[in-house]
Amino acid sequence: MNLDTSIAGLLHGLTVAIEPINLLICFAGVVLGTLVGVLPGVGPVVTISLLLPVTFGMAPVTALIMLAGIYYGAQYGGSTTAILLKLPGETAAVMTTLDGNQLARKGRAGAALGMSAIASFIAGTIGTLAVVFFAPALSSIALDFGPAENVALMVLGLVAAVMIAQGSPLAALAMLLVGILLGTFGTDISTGVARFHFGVPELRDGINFVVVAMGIYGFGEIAYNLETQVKQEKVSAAAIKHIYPTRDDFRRSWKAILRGSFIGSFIGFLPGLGTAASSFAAYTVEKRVSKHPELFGTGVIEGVAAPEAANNSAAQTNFIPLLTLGLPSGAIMALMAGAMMIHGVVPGPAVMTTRPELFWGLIASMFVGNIMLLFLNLNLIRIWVKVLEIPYRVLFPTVMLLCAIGVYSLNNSTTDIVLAALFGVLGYVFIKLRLEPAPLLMGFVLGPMLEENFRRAMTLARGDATVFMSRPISGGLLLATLLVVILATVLPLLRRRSPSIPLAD
Amino acid sequence: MRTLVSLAAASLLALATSSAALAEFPEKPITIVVSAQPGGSPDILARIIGQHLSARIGQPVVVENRSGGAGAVANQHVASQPADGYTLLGTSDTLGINVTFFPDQGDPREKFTPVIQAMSSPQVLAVRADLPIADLAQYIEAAKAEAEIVSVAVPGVTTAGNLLALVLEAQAAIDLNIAVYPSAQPSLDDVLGGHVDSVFVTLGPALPHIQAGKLRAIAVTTPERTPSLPDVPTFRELGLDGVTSTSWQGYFAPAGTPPEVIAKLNAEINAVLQDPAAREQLLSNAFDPAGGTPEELGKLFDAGVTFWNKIITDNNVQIQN
Repeated sequence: MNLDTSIAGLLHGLTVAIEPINLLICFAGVVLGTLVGVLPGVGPVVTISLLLPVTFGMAPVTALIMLAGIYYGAQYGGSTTAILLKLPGETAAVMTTLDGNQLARKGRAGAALGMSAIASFIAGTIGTLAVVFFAPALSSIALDFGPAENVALMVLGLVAAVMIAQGSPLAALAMLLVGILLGTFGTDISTGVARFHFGVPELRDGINFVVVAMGIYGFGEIAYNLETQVKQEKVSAAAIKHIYPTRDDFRRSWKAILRGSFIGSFIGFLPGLGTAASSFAAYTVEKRVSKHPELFGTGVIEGVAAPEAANNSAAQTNFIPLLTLGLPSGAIMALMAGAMMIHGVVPGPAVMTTRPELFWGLIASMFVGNIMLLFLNLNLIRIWVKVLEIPYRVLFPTVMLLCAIGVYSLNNSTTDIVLAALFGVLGYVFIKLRLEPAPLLMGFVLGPMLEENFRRAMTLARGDATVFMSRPISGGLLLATLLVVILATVLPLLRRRSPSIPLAD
Repeated sequence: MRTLVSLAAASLLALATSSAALAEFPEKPITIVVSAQPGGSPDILARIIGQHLSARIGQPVVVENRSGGAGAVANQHVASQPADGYTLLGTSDTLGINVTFFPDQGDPREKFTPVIQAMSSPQVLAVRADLPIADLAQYIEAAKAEAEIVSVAVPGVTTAGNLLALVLEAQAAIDLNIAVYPSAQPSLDDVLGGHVDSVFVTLGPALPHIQAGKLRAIAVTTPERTPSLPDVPTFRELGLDGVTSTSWQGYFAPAGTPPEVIAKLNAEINAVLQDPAAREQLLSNAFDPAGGTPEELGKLFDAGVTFWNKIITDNNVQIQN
């Protein structure tokens, strides 16, 4: 597609997006998205599936504008609890907890929330531009990622997981392995054998990520906070002073936002990777290129800006495989595909030519929606920071209850709540042992994908392991991994790692 | 089966005698429980049917997602609900396949009574359009040239796609390189990306790619050709009669649900399946609307249990638990 048609299409789309009904619905979508993003555990998948019937009566483009708004709106909201309460509502927000919550503890919750909103806006806009100009070109690369390429990408991700960890690399490696082990729970795709299900039917499909994250971060953190309550009250009073990010914050973050946006835009369009991998990658890169990597995890503003930028640009480019190839890259895109089909639009290459008003209207609405979200979220900061003033005797039971509802809503299962409670105990133990849980969660997400793709790559290569090196993309990624490992082992000799773990202050 | 036999007589009787009682059902929302994530095929089907059913009966129809345990989570939940017709199980031919794979889950025929078959669909064998394979003969020829050279993606070990690929291997005396995926979508991704040669899946998710010319349909598994692909032959036509099976989705109620309630649900859903607007929505999602009596669904289910059991036993497909 050439530049002229992109611009003409976009202008046509804008006329669709600024129709009053579409503006109104877009606003409703992003507000709703922000709210479900803020509620721990209640994610866009549940919301979109609940609201799908509401859209039956709307025009197809209006319906899609609302559903898409919920999705990228939730990416904005997801950082709120991650920063304020160290509670990642979604996979993508795990990285935001690392520095975001430390900033909040230093009384800079407003700055972290503000930076998160601004980074999200810039990245969302860049991601949408990527959809406009690169959709057809990018989608042909996306399909080049087969099993072997995915394996190389996962290896890179797992190595990175150890490197971004605070404290001892050995502890990080141990946590990573525990995460991978937890990821093996459930039915093995390749053989159909259910592993570690202990006779519980729910465990045959493995453990949901949100259950692990809510348990370890949410419940574990609350249990630990009960021990240190007196100290926490003092911090919250200071949080109100600096509502917005300072000039210095922007000076430190603008490069991080741009890097995060490009990383997110790239990873977002690969089918099956989702927004989480992009925020993992952006945080890792930011820590690598930083002049002061030892400060990451202690509350640096670029540690919030990079992953927040990445997950928002990924949320936009996630639409590329669906809109150009008809390939949904996850549960949410599958729902979007379902919504399109219910409205009689078959997702695929034909959408752009046969339904241009729908294709471009949806994309143009993303620009509009991102502007709405920026103003919405900057104004909400004043309200959110007040959350920190709520007495813990009220806040903790409320958060626990919301977490329990969120976990239950995943699959209407009480077993998941019990599991989350067990992970809460584990999370408490980790904090007492000063172990950072981020590598565990990365192992949990990436481990099963690695195993599945490895088995599949070996099957397809009929047992020839050189396939990982002989294919250019996977070979290149593995080479990059090797370089990263070499750098990581050489650098500590030049610059000693900081031994402190800033989990407990 | 006793439920089924008595059902026909009872439902006629019920229609004649208890129209007053009938008028009252349903007096509260009906829940359809599906063992699928939102956006999955059973979920979309239930939402389309639920939307139209709700308009007919004047009560909301709620779709509840309870995935997990190869359907066991949804099955156990519905079996434990009151047998009053307010909770239905949205399930598929997988229910019959799982009788052999998961004997520990109990016999669905004792737990559920059939309501209606909602849709049917072929499984399709399709190859990448850039491969020089135009028909089944060439596909078999390529596979015979060297064992395991032709790869085929299937959406899971216990799926019809995998089991029918095994039958194809046995009947055509070929050895395929089977790559297992968690569901249809990622298997299609890898075929379209050129990483796998062919795919054996339910027609629905593959149809847009076949129509767009990215995949070439080799054969379908239904006894007759399918309306959406009239030019594609069936395996039966091509002499491989063993690879004949129709996938379906349908609704069951807990065993012991009053026959007049089953009859009412059956009649209303049959009417939905005849409704032009609903049919259009279903067909655009590659759901071929079915319908019929509860007894017909019962027979279809029973036939499936026998059919799949023989394939699973003959090919010694085992999953330890």
